[in-house]
Amino acid sequence: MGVSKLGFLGLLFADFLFAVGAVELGRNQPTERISGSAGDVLEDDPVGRLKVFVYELPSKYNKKILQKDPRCLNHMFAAEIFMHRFLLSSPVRTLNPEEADWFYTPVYTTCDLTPNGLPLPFKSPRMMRSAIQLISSNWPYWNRTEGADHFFVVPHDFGACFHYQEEKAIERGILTLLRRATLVQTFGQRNHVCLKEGSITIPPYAPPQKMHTHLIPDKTPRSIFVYFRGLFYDVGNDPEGGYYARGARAAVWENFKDNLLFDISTEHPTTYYEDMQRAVFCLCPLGWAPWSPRLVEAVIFGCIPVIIADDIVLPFADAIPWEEIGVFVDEEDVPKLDTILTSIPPEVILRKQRLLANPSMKQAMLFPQPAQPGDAFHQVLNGLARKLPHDNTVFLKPGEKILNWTAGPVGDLKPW
Amino acid sequence: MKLSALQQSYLNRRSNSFRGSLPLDSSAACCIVSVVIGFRFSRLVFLFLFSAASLGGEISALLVVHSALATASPIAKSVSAACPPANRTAAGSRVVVGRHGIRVRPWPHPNPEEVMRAHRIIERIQREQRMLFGVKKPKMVIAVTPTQVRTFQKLHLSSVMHSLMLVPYDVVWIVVEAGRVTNETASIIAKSGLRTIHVGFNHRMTISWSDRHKLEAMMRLHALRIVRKERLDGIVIFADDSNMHRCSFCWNSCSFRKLEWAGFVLNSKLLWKDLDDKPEWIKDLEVFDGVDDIESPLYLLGDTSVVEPLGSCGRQVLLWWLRVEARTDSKFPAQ
Repeated sequence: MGVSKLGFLGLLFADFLFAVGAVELGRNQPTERISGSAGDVLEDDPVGRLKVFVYELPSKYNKKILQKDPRCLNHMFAAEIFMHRFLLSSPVRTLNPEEADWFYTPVYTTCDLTPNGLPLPFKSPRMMRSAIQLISSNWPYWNRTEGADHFFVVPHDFGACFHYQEEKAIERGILTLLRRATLVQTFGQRNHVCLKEGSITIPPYAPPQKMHTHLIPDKTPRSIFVYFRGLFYDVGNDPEGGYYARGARAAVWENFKDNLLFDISTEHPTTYYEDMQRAVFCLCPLGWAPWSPRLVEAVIFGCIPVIIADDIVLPFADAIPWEEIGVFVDEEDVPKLDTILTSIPPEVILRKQRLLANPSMKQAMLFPQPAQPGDAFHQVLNGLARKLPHDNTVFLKPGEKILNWTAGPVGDLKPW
Repeated sequence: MKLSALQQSYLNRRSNSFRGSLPLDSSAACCIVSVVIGFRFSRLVFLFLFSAASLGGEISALLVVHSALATASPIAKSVSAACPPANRTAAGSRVVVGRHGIRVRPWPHPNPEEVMRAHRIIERIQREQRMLFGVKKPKMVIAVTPTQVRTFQKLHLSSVMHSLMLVPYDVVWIVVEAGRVTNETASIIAKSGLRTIHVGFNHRMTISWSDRHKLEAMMRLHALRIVRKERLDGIVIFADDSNMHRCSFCWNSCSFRKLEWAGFVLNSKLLWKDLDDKPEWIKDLEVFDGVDDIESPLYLLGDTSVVEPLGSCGRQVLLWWLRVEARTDSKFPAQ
C-alpha cells in the first residue's frame, strides 16, 4: 500500500532532513558578541565618516615594482598593495584634496625581494623618503601638517623602522619623516620604539580564497589539543639559538616535542589548514617579529590562538577583545604551557570558541578581493574615522617646522 | 662586488624562514672570547659587519669566526655572562632584545593528571560539537551480536565491544549466545559499561559453515523478538563478531544480490507487534517461527523496493570481514 511505503521512506527522508539541517547550520554556529575597548564597532560602516585623497605617484613607487615581481601579491606583506587597490575604488575616496580628511601615499616598500621571495628592507627608507619629498614638493597638503593627516601602510617586520632584525630596527627607530603620520602596520609591541602612539595595527595578509577552499565541516571533531607548524630554530640566521623568537619557539620544541598533547613540527603538511580546524589551541609564538599570519589563520579556522609574544599589540586591538578570544602566555612561561592550557575550564574554552565563531571577527582579519563590509580594509578606515576630527596639534602654525629632514643614518639620505 | 656578496649570503641560507642575521656586537664579542679560550666548534659562520653609516648594502669588513654549540658548557656560560648585557626595546619595557636562554624544565614529561584534563576538555568540546552540528535527536543504537564460546571469541567480541563503546549515542547491546549463557562471554561484555541484554539460544553452534550461517540467522531473529518484546525504540544494526559466508541468494525481482546482515539497518518499531500504521511490506516475526533457512535480512520484507541506501555509503567501504578463526577442536590456553 502506498501509505505504508511512505511510512518507511518517511523515516529515511527524516534522517536526510537531519543531515540537511546540519549542513545548513554549519556556518550558523551559535556565537557570542563582545565589544573591544572602542565598543561594538566591527560592523561599523566608514562610508560617509571620512574622505581619503590618494596621491598619484609615478609607477616606480608601486605598479612598476609589482610588475617586476608579482610574488608581492602573495606574501604576508601584501596588505600594502591591496590597500592601495581598495582605496582607488572605495566610496571614501575623494578626488578633491581640499575636502580630504586623510591623505594616502601608495608606496610599496616591501616589494624588493630576494630570490627566495623575502623582502630586502635596505632601500626602503630611501624609497619612502623619496616619495615624501615628491608629495611635499608637488602638493601643499603635506607641508601644512608635516604629515599629521597622512597615513602610510608599512607592513614590514618592524613597521617604519625598516629592518627585520630587531636590534637594527631599534637602533634606527621610526623614519624621521613618518613621525607625525599615522602608521598602518603589522608590527605591534608596547613600549617599543617602532610602535608609536596612534598607529593602527593590522593583520598580516593571508589569502582569503585559499583559506576558504580548505574549510571542513564544523561537525568534524576537534581532537588535537595543541597544534603548531613552523620553525623552532632559525639555523640559517641564528645557529646557536636564543635570538630567533627570543628563544620561545626553541623552548616549545625542547619541552614538548615528545608530548602527545602537542602536535608540533616543522613539516608543513598539505592538510595544514584542515588540521587547524581539528585543533583546540593553535600556538602563535613570535618569530623574528611578534606577529605572523598564523594568528589570522587561527581566527579564521576557529582554533584558539595561544599568543606567546610579550607586550604584543594585536590587530585592531581597540575593536577586537583578544584577551577574551585567545590565551596569552608569557615567553618565560613556555615550559608550563601544558599546565596553563589544561587548567583552563572547559566552559571558558567553549566561550572562546563561540566568540571566535563570530563572522565579524573573522571578516576583520581578511583583505578579500573585492572588498567586503567589515573586512580589514574597512577596519582600517574605521580606525582612521575614530581619529577624527583632527586636533589642533595637527596643523602647523605659519613658519613652524618640526621634522628634521636630515636626521637618520647617512645612507638613508641618499637619493633613491 | 660587495652587493653581490650580500646577495650571496641570502642564497646560502638553509632555512626558508624570516630573514635575520647574527647580532653584531655581543655575538661577535662572545665568539671572539670563545676562540681565545679554545673551545671545539661545530660551525663556521660568516659574519657581515654593517656599520650604521653604511647600511645601504656596502660591506665594511668580513670576519670569519667560529660559533659555539647551542648547548654551552659551564665555562661557555660564564663567558656569555661576562658579555655586555642585552639591549632593551625601550625605557620601561620588560622585553629584552638580543640573545635569550632557551628555557627547558628539568622534568619535561607530561603530568598524567594534566593529560587527563586535556582529554576531558577535548571530550567536552566534541560533545558541544555534536550538540551544535550533529543529529539533533539521535536514536538509540540497538546492536545485535550472535556469538559463541570459542578460541578467538575474546578477540572478536572485544573488537566489537570497543567500537560500540566509542559510539557517542545510547547503545543497547543484545548478545545472543549459542547454547546457553556462559560466564566466559558474560565476563567479556561486562567490561563494556554498556546496557547489555545477554541471552542464550537453545542450539549449540555447529561445525559446518553453512549450518553455522543458518544458526546465526536464527539467533538474530531471536534478538529481533527481544526488541519486540521489550519495545526497544531505536535503530537496529547487526554487529557480527564472527565471520560468515557471503550470501549468494538472488531473488527474481531483487536488485540486492549480496546483502549481508551486517550491512542492514532498520527502525526497531517495525518489529513491534501492536504498531499502529504498520506497513504491509514488513513481515511479522511470527511467520518465521520454526523456519531455519533464513539466509538474508531481505526475508523480513514482503517488498524489497522499500530498501534505500543511507548516506553516502556507496562511496566508502564501511564493513570488513575479519576471517580469523581457529580449528573447531582447538582450545585457548587456560587463563
